[in-house]
Amino acid sequence: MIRCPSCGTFNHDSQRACRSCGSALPQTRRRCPECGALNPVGNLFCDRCNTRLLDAEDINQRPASDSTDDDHLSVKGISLPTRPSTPVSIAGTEIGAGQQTALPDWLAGLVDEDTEFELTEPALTGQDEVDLGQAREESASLPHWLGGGDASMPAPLPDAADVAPLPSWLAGEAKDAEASGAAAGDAEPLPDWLTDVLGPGATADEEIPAAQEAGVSLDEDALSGRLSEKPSSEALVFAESELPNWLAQAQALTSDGPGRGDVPTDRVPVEVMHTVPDHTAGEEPGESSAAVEEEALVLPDWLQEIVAEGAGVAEGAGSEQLPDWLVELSRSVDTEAQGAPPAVSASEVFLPTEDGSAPAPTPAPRAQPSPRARSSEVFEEEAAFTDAGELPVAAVPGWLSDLAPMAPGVGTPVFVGQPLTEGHAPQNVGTDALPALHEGPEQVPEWLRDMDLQASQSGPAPEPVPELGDLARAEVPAWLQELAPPGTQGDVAVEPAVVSADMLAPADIPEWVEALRPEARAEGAPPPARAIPPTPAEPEGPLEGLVGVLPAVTAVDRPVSARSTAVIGIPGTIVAQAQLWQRLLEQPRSAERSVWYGRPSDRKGSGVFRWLVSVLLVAGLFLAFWLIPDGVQLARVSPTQVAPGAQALVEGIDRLEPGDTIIMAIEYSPAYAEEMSRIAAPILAHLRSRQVGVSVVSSLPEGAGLGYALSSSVYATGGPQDAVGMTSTHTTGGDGYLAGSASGIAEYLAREEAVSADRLVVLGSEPQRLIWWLEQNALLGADALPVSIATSAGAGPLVLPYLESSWVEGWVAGLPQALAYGQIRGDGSDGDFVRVLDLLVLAHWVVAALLLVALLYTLVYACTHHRRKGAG
Amino acid sequence: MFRWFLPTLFAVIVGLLVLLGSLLPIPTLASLRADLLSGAAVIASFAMVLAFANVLRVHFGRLVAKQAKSVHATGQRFASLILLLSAIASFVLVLLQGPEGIASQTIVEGVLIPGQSALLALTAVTLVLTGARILRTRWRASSVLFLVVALLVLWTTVGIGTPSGIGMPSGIGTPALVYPGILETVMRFVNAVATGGMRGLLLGVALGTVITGLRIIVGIDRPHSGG
Repeated sequence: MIRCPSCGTFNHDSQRACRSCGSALPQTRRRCPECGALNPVGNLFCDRCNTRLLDAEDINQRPASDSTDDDHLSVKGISLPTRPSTPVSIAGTEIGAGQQTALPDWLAGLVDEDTEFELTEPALTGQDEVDLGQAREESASLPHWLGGGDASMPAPLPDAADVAPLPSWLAGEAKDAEASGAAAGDAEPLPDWLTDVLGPGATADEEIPAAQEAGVSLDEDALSGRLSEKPSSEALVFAESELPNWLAQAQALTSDGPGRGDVPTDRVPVEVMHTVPDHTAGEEPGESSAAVEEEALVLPDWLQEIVAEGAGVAEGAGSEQLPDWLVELSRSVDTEAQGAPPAVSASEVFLPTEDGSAPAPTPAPRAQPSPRARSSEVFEEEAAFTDAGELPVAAVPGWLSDLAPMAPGVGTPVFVGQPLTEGHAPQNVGTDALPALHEGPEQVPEWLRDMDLQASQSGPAPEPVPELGDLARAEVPAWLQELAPPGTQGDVAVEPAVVSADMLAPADIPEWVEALRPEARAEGAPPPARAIPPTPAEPEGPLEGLVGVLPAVTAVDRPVSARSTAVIGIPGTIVAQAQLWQRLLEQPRSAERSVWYGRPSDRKGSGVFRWLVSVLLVAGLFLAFWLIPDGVQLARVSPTQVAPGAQALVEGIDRLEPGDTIIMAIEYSPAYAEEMSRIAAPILAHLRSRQVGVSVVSSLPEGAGLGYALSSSVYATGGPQDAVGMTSTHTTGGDGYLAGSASGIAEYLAREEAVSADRLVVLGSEPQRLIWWLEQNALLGADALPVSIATSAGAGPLVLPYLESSWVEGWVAGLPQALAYGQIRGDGSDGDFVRVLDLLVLAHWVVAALLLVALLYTLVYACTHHRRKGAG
Repeated sequence: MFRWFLPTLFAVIVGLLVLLGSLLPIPTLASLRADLLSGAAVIASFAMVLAFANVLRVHFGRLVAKQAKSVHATGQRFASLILLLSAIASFVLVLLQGPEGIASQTIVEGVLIPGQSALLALTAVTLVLTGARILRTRWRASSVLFLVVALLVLWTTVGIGTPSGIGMPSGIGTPALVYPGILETVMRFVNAVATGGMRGLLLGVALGTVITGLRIIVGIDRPHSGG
């Protein structure tokens, strides 16, 4: 069944258009270009001719824009892509309009899915749109920083390249973003994913001298990890002064040497400076406000909105636009700040409070500055804290506190502001890098202490202190982690510059599937030979065409020495009989049998021998017939010795009563008509004397005519019917011809006229037809007719077993037995009949003499020839 | 499917019904068997008509075909013409008068019986000549045995007696006359040999018939569909 992509109606496999909407259906069969056979779409090779159906280059270089559902069905769904001869670089390949890189189909599918919401708007239909809509709804319900760069973002993204939620390794296909914003090669030191996050217009040539001067450098790995796992640009506010202590320590450790990625720590591109607030880059707080304002212009939108909202709240408007979680957090921080030390209170400026109070060391209210001025103040105060080496630990939001790493071996999470002991300190975090952590618990606000206490009492499972990369990975959605290529899972900062298909394929394709991947072949090269398993022999008969029905022959022959373990022995005769039946049944009709045809050599004297035989035959027959005077009888027949069945035949006909009817079957050809007429003459004379009616039938077309010729030849006077009361079968259909051979005979014997007959007399010279009559009559069982047979001399020996059976009641074969039949009846021998018999006697003698002479001559010649050979 | 499956299925079913109708004493099966045989007889008769029509078509095609003017082609045309005339004449005459009519009997007695008897006589001469040369072709003991058996059959079939007339050597038939038991002994021997051989042949024929029937019923052989 084929499901219509338009309306979802199921159609038959043979349909090309939907029966409901008429749209074209995906192709389910692929025609072989060589033999034209239809193959399933998943076939790489033709089932009939083994021709490769999908070319390797077609699979790799098929443009995505041209790909249709059919192509996906044929390549993506079932078949394996061909392994390309050279690695395909994903990051180094541009994706232009309508151009697709030579990705493997499985990776191309991923690209398609990514580009759905990242770069372009591919055509989505059906379930894809529903799924995407649901995903967007779910993301909208999440906080905006967790919602990713989708539609729930508070501010629209400038362009596609600014959509930074995806790491660059996943967005590596979107090279047009880099190509449009930065010059080729500029972004080399910077990981692509960071370039994507930071937005267009950033250049890698610019560095951050100020950050170096301040001695505070950004850990690109950590930052990139944060940015990558937090799709929104909120991650950009991770200024060093705002970082939690635990994160700052990790930063200090990791900033000692070059980053684990390709980007050295001293080569932070200036685009970070443009994007990240200046306090993040370690800018001195004493810089001019103009610079601050200039940097504030590049604040992320979400941060600008927060600032604006805070200002709006101060102005009494727009407070309801603040997220709930942020409002609650702000309230709690505000409450804690009432009793907090000045240092802690000063940190309130980092959180937009509900009342919009300016971040000042003193809780005294002041005039509400403009959003831009407010941000400048924030930055200044932030820088002041940074210079003083005091970290505004109280300003850590709750969501960031939740991310605090756990102290190894203690079982309590390490929260910001918590008094760390040596045992609590992470091993990879130096205590000198944690000034705020040593200040004592009095700096920790109550709400943080509660959280710490609760977390400690809850007794979470002890976990090792994770790496920064682990922290970053902890916030990466699972679906993104699964898509991350090797090298980026545990280390976010490691960004593979080039991701080839070979690097990705082994991780996704099992080995057994990989083993099935066909090799690419050159254009025009013959298709690779595929190992075709031997098919079982195709049986004959009703099972013909059903391959595999019969069990396969065992591959290993039984050794000769092995003997059967069967307890019951099978007699050899039964085995031989079974083998005979098996051979007879399995022997094909067309099997040729070897027959040796000898041909005598054409020696000298062959022609003379032919003439001699002919002359002797003619002379011996005709001359002897003319020379033998009347009254000389050559044939002396002893009825009892020559005709054993004649007596039974005479007795059977004698039992017939006048008016009875017999069936006379004429089963001889015209060639035997002369002989059969003489053999049948005494029988017909006997029937006439008994006043018996005769019905002439025959399974031969000429039988009826021969029957009437027989009667006319035997009884020249009058018609045959007048002579012996012979009747034909006109009344029962036809002229006595029984079509259908044995079937016709059986059908005739079932008729009423045959059943009412008193005897069946078969006159025949063909043994097979005589046997038909006997068998079909015997099948009648108790209704079988008594049968008498008169056959020719040549057919007599052939049907002798039947003649001597109980089915036959009297028989004669040949002229001598016919003569004996007459002698038994005592009707006297006919003069012509005796002359013919004498002539046959002479002919037989001549033939016997010729054969004897030939035998002697051959013996003498052979002996002479061998003597000559022996003498020679 | 329609090429061989249905004909085979039909043949198998009909064969089984006829076989069961012959073996089982069930009136219904016997009646069904008789009906099926009647149908077979009708089909065979129709096949005979088709064969006759096909003979006419083939030879009429030869007669009207444009052939090269050669002796062979001319002879073929003449033979086809004779065949067509004789076939049509026989068909018309027998159709009008029946097999017992004068014309039909004339054709049978004047054409069919002499012609085929002559062919059979030629066969006899050919057999004699071949028998005489058999030792030159195959010098084996079986060839000698063949000749000996042929001589005995010739001797015993006719029942040669002793000539009582003149002009014939008195020695002919002397063994039977002098030793009456010799002829009877030889005849018994020949009959026994001939009967035994013929029984073996009949057994082979019967076995072949059963095998052929089984192969057709099972469907291994499909003469009805050219298989």
